[in-house]
Amino acid sequence: MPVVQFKNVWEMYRIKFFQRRRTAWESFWALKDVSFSVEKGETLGIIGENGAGKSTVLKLIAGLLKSDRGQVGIEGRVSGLLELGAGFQPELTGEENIFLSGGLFGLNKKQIEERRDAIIRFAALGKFIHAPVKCYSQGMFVRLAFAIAVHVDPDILLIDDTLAVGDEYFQKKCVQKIFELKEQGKTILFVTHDINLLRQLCCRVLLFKEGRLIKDGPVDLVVSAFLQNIGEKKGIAGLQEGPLKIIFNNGRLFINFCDVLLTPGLGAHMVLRVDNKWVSSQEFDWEVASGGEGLWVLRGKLSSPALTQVWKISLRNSCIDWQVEVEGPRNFVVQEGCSNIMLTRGFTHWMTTLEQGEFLSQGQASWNWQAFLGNNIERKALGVKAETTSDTNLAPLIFQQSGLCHAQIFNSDDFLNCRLLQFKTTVFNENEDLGIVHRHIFSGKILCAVPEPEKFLRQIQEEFVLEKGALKCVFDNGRLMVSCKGVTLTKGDHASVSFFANGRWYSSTYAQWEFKKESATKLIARGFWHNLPLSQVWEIEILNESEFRVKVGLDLSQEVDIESQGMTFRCLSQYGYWFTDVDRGEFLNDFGEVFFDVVQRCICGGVVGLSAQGDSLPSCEIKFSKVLNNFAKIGNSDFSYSARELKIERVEPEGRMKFSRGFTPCFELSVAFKNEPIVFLKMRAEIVLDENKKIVFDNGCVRLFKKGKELTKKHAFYTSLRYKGRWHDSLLMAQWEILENNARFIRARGRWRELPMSQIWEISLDEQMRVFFNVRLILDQGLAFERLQTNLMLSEEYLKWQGLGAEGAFPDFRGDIDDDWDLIWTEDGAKEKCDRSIGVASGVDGALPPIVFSLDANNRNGCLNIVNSDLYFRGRILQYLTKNAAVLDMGEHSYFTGRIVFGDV
Amino acid sequence: MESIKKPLGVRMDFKKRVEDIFLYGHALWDLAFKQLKAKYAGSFLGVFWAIVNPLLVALAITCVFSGFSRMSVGHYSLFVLSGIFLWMFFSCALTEASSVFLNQAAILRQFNIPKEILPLSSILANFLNFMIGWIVVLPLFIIQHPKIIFFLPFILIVLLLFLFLTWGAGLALSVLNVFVRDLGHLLGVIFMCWFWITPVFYSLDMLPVKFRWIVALNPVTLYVIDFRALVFYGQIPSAFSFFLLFLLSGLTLMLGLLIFARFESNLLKRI
Repeated sequence: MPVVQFKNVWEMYRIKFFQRRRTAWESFWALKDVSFSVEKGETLGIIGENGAGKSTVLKLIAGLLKSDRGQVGIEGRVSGLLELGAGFQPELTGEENIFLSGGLFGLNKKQIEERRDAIIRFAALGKFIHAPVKCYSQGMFVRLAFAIAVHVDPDILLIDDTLAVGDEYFQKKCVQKIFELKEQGKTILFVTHDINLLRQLCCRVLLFKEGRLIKDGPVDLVVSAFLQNIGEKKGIAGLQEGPLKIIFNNGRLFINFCDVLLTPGLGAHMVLRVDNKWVSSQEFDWEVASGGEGLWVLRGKLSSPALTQVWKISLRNSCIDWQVEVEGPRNFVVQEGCSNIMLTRGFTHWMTTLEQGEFLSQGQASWNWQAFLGNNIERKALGVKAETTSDTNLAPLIFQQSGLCHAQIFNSDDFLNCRLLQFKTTVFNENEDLGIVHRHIFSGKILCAVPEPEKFLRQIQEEFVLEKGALKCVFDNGRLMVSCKGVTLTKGDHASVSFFANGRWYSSTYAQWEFKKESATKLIARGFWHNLPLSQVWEIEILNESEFRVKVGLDLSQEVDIESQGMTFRCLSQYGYWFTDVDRGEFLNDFGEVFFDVVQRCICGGVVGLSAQGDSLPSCEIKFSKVLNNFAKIGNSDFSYSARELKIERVEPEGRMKFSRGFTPCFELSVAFKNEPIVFLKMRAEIVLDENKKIVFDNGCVRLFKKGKELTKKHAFYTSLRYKGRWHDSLLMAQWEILENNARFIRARGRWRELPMSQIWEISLDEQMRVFFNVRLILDQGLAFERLQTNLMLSEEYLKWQGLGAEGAFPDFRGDIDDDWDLIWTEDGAKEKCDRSIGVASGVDGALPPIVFSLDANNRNGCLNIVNSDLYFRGRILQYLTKNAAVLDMGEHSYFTGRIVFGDV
Repeated sequence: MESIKKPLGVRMDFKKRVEDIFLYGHALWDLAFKQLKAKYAGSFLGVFWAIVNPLLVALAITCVFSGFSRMSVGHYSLFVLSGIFLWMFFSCALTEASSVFLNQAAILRQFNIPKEILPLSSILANFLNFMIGWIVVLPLFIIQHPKIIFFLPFILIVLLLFLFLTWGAGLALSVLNVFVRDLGHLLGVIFMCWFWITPVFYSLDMLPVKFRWIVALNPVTLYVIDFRALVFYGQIPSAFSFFLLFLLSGLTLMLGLLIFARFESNLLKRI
């Protein structure tokens, strides 16, 4: 039984127009031939532009107006909020107004008394309820008015777009109350411009335009019709192709398929972060610049910050091409750009080229949006589809964004009730300081009604994926992702190239790439940086099922200074072992906070590789070319990547940094995967002093431990020799072998790879439990060393030192990474040959035991230094240094003899 | 379709109208009291103005016109008082009723109420105001003619009839003023002239005969004369004059309601 019935209702206003001293009365039909009926218990939304007749309908239902033609039938008590003023008497208090309004709604005094407390509680105005309403803010006004309107037990409740005034909390409360009334079977009609509220509250919506009821139906259908018609006319454009209809409306793009709106809410829109502020495309002032014939160009302007957006939208073969160009004045920096696409809840599944998943059917009640796909992973394309069994027929969609971006998928909160697809682009503005006009281009494609989205995505993937047997290489805009037997072995930025040119670093991941698959196993890619006169060329070829080759070269159009280049492979942290063609070892250190931590360096040309325990991961081996002056580093990345890194580098000698025009090959690597793990040789040996203390020989250094805590740091006890301007350390640069090891004695031999020399270390305990070092140097030929050092690098927690008649405190660390170390104190002049010792006092709170480092009298002339390392090592160093060492002949030399006592001095 | 009733705004039958007024009685009183409160809100003397105001007017008139009268000054001021209360009620009630829809547009836009309760509330508020003042000055008249205590029912009848007259005129003016806004501006002048031709500070026999017809044509004259006869002279008016008052009030009320009903449906569109 209908409770509201309109039968061919016409409503006329007579309006006096004042125009150029002429006044004229004109008739204006606010409603034209409107017929509809509302059943009891229905919740009906009414939408339309301003002046479409929405409020007139409510006024007719409320009985405030009488129809000029046709019939209006109403059953039951009507209450509602028809006006912001709510008919309150400004001089009266809130409470007095409750009584007055209640009376005017037709309640008697007793009925109002009964409801008074509930109204006051709902309005929650505190003591303001006893203040004259003229003192109220607009929000308080609406609170009170709404509280009264819903508490007078209306059979029909009318709400005229007034809720928007209240704060978010109150709006939620109102929505809850409306739901409650809905449950009680009340009929609710409301006029609103808030599409989200509409979608949330009602099933049926009436759309009015110029006094006529032009659409009456389910919410999604009517809202989509509405969105085509609202907003400033000059900022609206539409394209249609068969059942696919897209509407641009003032910075938002709506996609309809078969009259179903696929992108509700804000549709597809663009959000930019400029000067740390977010601006959305719908805040721009839009106009149609040109268009028609399947292509629209729309221009949007924003005054602060002064930005211009130009959207080019075209529609062909069910594919929407969406290009956004952002332009700004001097000094403007777009930091991030997000292409957001809101999707209806009807879509149940999402997929990317590599992943697939299902949306949660129920949204979360919280305001936090739920992300389905994490950040930091580049995705070329994303698709969504609806379950085929669901009753609404939603066309699957695929989104493709070109350029570098991260795609994410969210479920919104309950309130917006939609999915959000986001392509996030971080823009690095290289020319920031030049003050030229900047442009940024974001471009993407939206494909509608793709019959088999999964298959389509696979095809997209094939464009940049090389595959043979178990080996797969994915070229991803300057990154190379490698997987073997379905396991991705690289992580983070995978394999990428960076180089230092014109005084700054450039990474392949920030270049614009074009690539072409030459065959199923070969891909050639070319990347450009917009401010460099060069391009980088990658040639990736899979040779067989376990090996591929990467060639990287630079193609210069004019001369450029390039100091160094590096190609970094970031591999899974499960790789616990590294190896080279001459050496092998275990990754011991944890990932540091900031820096790449070198574990081993390799000479020009050779092999580096990684291996994992057991056969969980295939071991990986990179051969790099000597011809191209490539050398390698093995190390741990910083904590955020947590990757094992293999870095192939090419450093240009001074004076040869200029790269001439034309093509220069830079790297040639072949990467092979083997299933048998590399046998790991242990290069560690221990001597236990007592239950608390032990020393550990660790691949070219000796570490001191007390109660499990390391007193030394990083390089610990090590030797370092300078030959022809380069330092050669005992660790990392020599290959060690343990010759003898028992409870009180270690003998080890290390061979330098780059120098024809080796060292023999003998570490022993004497009867007083002192650790005695005897280091001998064996030269295969005579060498002229510049400096010889023996160092003990200690924890930064040591704050004081003393000995040799002097004492002092360690200052704070200074200098950047790779800066010179900070000499704190040096022994003055040559001393007589005698035993000398220097010690460090206990650390913070006496937590660390004192250490005494003594040199035997038979050492060569030299001096003791106290040194602070740079910020990277953060170590206190006790150093024994021989300057200007003469040419040492071939044969055996004594290098160092001395003792370390720690703990109980 | 029987189940669907016509909405409130389009009724013409008077019985239903009266019922509705009673239905919204609570709101009517609320509005009336509110207007009364608003009238004196913030003033120092408050509700005492209901007495002080007519007294001051009477004092002023006495000062100016007592010379023209053969009565003693005290006597003359009582004479003026017996008329001025009625007149001030009449003019204030009508002035307020005429602008009530414009002032209370917010209520009309929000609530579907019988619209006549708005002018009615203005008239009621003024009637209350009048009664407060009148009850205070009544003892003065009783001292002069103790027997008028027994005339109280007659006095009430005259007052009620006068209330109906005001109501009818108020209804008509309230809607007419919405459609012809000039009325509001004219009203001040009209009431001034009307005051001169109403025997408040003079009696009919003070006038030259050739002008008496003008005053006699004024409907308010009849009420003032009868009221004054009761309270000032202590005489009961003739049954015929009561009949005249009945007739006059009834006709005015009918006419007012007809005019009101004719225009009320378009009221909201014109505010």
